[in-house]
Amino acid sequence: MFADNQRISGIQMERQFFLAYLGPVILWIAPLLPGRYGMFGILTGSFLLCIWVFFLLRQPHVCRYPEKYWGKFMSWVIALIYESYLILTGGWLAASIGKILQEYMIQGIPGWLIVAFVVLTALCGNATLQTRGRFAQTAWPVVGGIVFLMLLLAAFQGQGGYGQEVQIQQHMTNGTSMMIQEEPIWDRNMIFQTGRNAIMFVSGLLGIVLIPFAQLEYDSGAKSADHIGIPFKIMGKTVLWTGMIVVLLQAVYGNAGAEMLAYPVLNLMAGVRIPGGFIRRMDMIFLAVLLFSLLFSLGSIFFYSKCIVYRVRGKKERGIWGSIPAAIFCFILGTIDLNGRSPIQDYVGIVSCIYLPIFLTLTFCNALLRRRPYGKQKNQV
Amino acid sequence: MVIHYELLDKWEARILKTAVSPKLGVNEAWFRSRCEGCDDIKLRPMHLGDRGQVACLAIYVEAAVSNLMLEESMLGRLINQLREMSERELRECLEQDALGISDAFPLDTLEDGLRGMLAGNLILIINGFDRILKIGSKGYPGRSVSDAESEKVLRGSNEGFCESVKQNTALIRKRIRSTGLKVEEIFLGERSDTVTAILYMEELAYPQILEKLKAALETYEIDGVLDSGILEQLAEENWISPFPQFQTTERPDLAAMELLEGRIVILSDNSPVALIVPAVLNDFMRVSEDRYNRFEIASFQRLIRYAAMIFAVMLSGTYLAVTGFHTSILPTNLLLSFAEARRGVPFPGLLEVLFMELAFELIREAGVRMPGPLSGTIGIVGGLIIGDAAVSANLVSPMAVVIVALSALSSFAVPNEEFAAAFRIIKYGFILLGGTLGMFGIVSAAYLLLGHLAGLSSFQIPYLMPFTGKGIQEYRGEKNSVFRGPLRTMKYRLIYAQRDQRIRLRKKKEEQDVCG
Repeated sequence: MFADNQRISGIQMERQFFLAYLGPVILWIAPLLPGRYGMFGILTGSFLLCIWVFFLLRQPHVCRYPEKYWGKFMSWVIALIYESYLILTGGWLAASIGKILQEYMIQGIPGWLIVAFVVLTALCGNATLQTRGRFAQTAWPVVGGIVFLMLLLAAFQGQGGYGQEVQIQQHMTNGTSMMIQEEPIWDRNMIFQTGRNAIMFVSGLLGIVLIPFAQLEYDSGAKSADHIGIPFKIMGKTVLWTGMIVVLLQAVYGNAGAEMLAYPVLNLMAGVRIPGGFIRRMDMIFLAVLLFSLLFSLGSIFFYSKCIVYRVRGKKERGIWGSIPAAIFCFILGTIDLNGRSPIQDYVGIVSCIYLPIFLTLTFCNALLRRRPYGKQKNQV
Repeated sequence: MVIHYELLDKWEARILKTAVSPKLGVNEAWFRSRCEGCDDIKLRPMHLGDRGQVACLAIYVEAAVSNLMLEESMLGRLINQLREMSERELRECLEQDALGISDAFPLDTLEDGLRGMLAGNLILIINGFDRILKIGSKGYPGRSVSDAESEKVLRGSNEGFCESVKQNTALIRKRIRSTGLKVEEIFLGERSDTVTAILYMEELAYPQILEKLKAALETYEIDGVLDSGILEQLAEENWISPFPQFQTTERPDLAAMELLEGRIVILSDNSPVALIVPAVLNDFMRVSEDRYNRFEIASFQRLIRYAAMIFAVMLSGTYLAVTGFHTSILPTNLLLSFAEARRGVPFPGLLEVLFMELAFELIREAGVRMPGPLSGTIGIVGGLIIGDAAVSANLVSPMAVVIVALSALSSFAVPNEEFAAAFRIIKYGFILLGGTLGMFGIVSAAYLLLGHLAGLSSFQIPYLMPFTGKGIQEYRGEKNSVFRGPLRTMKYRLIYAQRDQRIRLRKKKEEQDVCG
């Protein structure tokens, strides 16, 4: 009646998306897109994503029943490509969470143990489609509200000169010129920089957009405006959130300042004071709230990994058991260390250069296959 | 083919009942064989009719039917009436079922007669008549209607349920005088044969939920149902979860209120606690008084309760996380006072808090088991003397006492005991994770807790309703969650009611015309 129909509402999907997106965008994606070109990149990237999503929304049947269109072998190959992408993303996310935890929250515990705990928590947190929907619907107002309020506090209290000081200090250390030149509004690299940032923005959103949007299925009674409306509303809000953080970082640190810091938003939060002064450092609380989002992101990776396999096998997804293999692989990938260098260190590069073209090609092929009749229809023809 | 003889026997025992014989001797022998060794069950041979020519047998449980021959009792009057009739009149009267007394009910089988007698009624077997007459009596002795001790309110009825299912049903019927209120009785417990009443408003409750509930209640065969708690545990979908999926109440007004929301109430004989389904998190935070008070007061109280719920589960763990891992969060003077308070305490913070929490549980358990006047003494002795002594002896820091006391106080502010108990258990998870992993432990525990709650449902209603309600088709905002809206704006029933029956309040048309 309400709980056993394996459906979620539009608002649940929207909140799932934002909850999974918030942590990574604040900590890792937004700092990669600094300044003017960053904003241009976000706008261009979101425009390209909108076009992509438009095509994705037109081919849900191919994504839901791949075997009917691609054949058994090819659908398994495609599933494996998606799985490898998810595991890569999961491994990177687990490693990044572990790293930030070691740096800010838990000292003295081996990194692999922290990653193991992160993976286990994300795995057990939410198992089914509806559980995740309800989880996000309940958690998002709290998480989003706290983050928004804290960013608002930071916006009013940010020290604009701090970024420049960091730059000067850097130059002094390196022995280079201390002159800080103002950037021209237009330069020759603009198109290149914007394109690079757009690709980075799209790559950062890939996992969150691609799979859920490809799975969308509406009730027969749903308004046709919802088919297009909900995903594009989500995209619009995403641009707003990302843009807000980029502008904030730009305003406080300048172009180069944000690039020099590992987690510029956390540095920003460390300087925030709240009325009454009963909390000295807000960055811990901010990070704690973001961790909620990060765990949900990792949980999403495990969930979609299970979904893809079950989709190809034609079974319904239930419980957490199907997610365990992905969790194990993510844990291994997140903890592996080859001569002090992790194979997923250049995650964004791998996604931009390898997976982005593959997924684009697959979407194009799906669009072609969508027109081909199959099964009963084929016989009728 | 495998024949399960045991099941077959049970089926035969249920279906193939023994018809009442017109011969009194045969029936008497059947009853005597069944009641052998039961000294509390009386089999009294009697003679009815104006000349005492019709032999009969009255069977009853001694304490349940004590006023057999009293003139003023219904029973006494009926028997006297039967004594004054001639044999022909008596037989005609019985044949035509024309006793004129509503409490006299003819039964066709000996098993039904036995069940009626064991329920506290008198049964009369009359020679030459092939039916048993069940005559209602006061039934077993029991507590009368008294205050609901576990759900005190300042405003509203003070009546509480008692142990008799019939009286409890009547208490609800007194409040909802409509035939739309349906009461279905089922017998549960193979040996206890406990009467269980399922109450619902026919036009409001979802039939699917009702069917699911009945199926859940009849899933298990159990020897005895001595309290509604047994039914609750057997019928719960997610039995591993510490969170209750049935709401409990001792208040008939709350039960009636929930029936009008489209929920279903279960009353079990011998239990003063009614079960209400479906039950979601928000229901456990509501009390009947909320509806009677002004919305500002009710909303404020509810906000306090929600805050208390969060404090009850998170406060101790967060204290450990902050003082053990993230001292930079605290202002320097507060940090220094914390450090000062902990000076000389030999145990780590985790052990200290665990010790205090367990000590509190000990005091609580002792207070509950002690007789009334002593329980208050236990609280004072435990809270003040032991706490003070522990601080003086440097076993715990004063700050730990304050935190644990606040946490305990918060758990008492949660209105439903079963619900609060779930949080009391989960609190230990927060303490362990907060004490070992700091803030990350607290976030992980909160994440797992929310994940668990999001996966729970009570008879297909998600446990996190109404927080997850927005977006459901034809769902209207309930205005009855953390904040309670003004009563005149609460026009719609909760999600439990059937979709076409959601309107609870509207202005009368005449008034609308006048106002308009």
